[in-house]
Amino acid sequence: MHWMFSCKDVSQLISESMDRSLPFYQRVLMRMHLLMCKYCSRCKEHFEALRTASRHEELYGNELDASRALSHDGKERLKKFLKNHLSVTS
Amino acid sequence: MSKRESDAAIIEDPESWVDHYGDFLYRFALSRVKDPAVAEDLVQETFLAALRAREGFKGRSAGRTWLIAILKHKIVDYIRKKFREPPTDKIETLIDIMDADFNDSGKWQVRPHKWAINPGKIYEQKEFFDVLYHCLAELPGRLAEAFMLREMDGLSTAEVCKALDITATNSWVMLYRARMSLRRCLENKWLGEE
Repeated sequence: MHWMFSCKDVSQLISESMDRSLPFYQRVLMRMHLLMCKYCSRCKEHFEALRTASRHEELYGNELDASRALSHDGKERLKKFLKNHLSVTS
Repeated sequence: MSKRESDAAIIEDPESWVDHYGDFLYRFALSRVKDPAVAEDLVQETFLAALRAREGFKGRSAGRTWLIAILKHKIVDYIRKKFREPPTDKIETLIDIMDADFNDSGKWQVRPHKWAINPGKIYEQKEFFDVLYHCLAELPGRLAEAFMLREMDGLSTAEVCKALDITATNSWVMLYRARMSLRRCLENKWLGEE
C-alpha cells in the first residue's frame, strides 16, 4: 500500500475497521483521507447503515397493529409442533 | 430474577415460546414477507432451528434477539427460494464486478451517492429493508452467511471465522466484499439519488 491511500484502499480499511482495530498509522491515514473525500465518507455511512439496519429488531407504525398477531389456531398449531419436536429431540 | 435469567428460563422451556415470542416473531416476519401463511411458516421454521440450537443459547443475548436473528436467516432463505435467486458461488464474478467500482488508480468509478435516509430513523424506511433482504438473497451464499453472522447475529469476527472455518484475513476480505456488493445493490435498486 502506498503511503497515500487510494479510495479503493480506504473502502477496504473502512470495512476492516468495523471488524478489528486497525494499526495506528492506517487509522490516521484513513481518517485524513475521509476528511478530504466525500465519496469515501459516503461509503462509510453506507457500511454503517448496513450494520444498523441488520441489527435492528424493532417494529414501527402499523407493523405493531394488534391485528397482526398469530391466530388462535396458528398458536395452537405452533404449540403442537413444538411439543411433537420436543418429544423427538429430548 | 434478572431479565437475562428469565430469558434463559423461557428458552429452556420451548413450550412457552409461542406465548412469549410468537406474536413478535410473526409480526417481524410479516413486515418482510406480507403473506400471513408464509409468516407463520417462518415462525415455525425459526422455532425448529432454535430447538436444535438451544444448547448454544447460554443466555448471552436476550431470548428475543436470539430468535429474531434466526428468523432473519430464514427470511433471506425464503426470498432466495421464492425469487429463484440461486446464490452464485462464483466469487470470481463478484470480484470482476467489484473491480468495476474503482479505476486503475483506485478512484471511485461509480461514485457513492448520498443516500436518502436518516441514519437515526433507518427503521422507518420500510423499502430500505425490503431491498436489503433482496440484495442479501442475491449475494453468493458464503458472503451472505459471513455478513449475516457478523451484522445480523452480532457475532465477533473470531466467532465468524470459527463458524465458517476461515482465517481472520479471509473474514475481513469476505465482509468487505459483502458490504461493497450490498452497498452497490442498494444503490442500484432503490436508494441512489444524485
